[in-house]
Amino acid sequence: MSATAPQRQPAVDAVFTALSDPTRRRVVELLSQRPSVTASGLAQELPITRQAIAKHLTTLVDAGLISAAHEGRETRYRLTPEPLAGAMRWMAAAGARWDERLARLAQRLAEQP
Amino acid sequence: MAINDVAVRREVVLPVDRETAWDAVADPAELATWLASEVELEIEAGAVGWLRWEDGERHPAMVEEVVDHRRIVLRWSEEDGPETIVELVLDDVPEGTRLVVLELPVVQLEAVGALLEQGPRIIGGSSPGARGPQMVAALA
Repeated sequence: MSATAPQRQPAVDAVFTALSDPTRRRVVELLSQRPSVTASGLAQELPITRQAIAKHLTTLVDAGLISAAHEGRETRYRLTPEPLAGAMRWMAAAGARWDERLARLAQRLAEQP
Repeated sequence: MAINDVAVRREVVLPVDRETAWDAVADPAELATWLASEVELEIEAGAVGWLRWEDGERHPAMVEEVVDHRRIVLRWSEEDGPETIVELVLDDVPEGTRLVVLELPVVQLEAVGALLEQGPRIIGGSSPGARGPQMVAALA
């Protein structure tokens, strides 16, 4: 018997990686409350350096969770939540699968003499 | 927002002692009655095999860790989802045995592991007497 490595899902993986960091989750949260932000604007609200914010923004852009648009001399970032839906769909589906499995297990054990 | 907000966690109290509950989660024939439609995977650390889900496909799975009568850690992917780590933990409760399940995408665990400078596997090193899911403890 042979087993191959489970296939990776790059899009969902990138989203989960992006969301594994509390600062990036905070940025996503802030962006859900306003139309757009700049890196300098975020630097005034978050207790980290502008350079660190720039790195987090790049990760979020790469995961497709936010988009960057140059407006004059600044770059504005906006939430593009579609990839989030994929991650949320996985969580909802996985949760539903466990609900079914555990119900089957509990029923089976309850029926045992 | 806690890190395990992006993990799936479920628990159920089974009306049986831990010995019986362990058989239900560690015997492939028993697993095939509730976890998947077909299970070809010995529950031993390092074992590699497959599970057949409702979609009819065989999906590779492996056993990362086993603590006898207490805890099983699996790694698998199913349908269109990410590769995930699944932890099953049994605990004695007055009504029987509590089973806690935690499923978490591997990439997320790796990211947290790197953050904690413990490498990608942060769920090793538990003792047989450990209570509660180790991943939950590590991620809290």
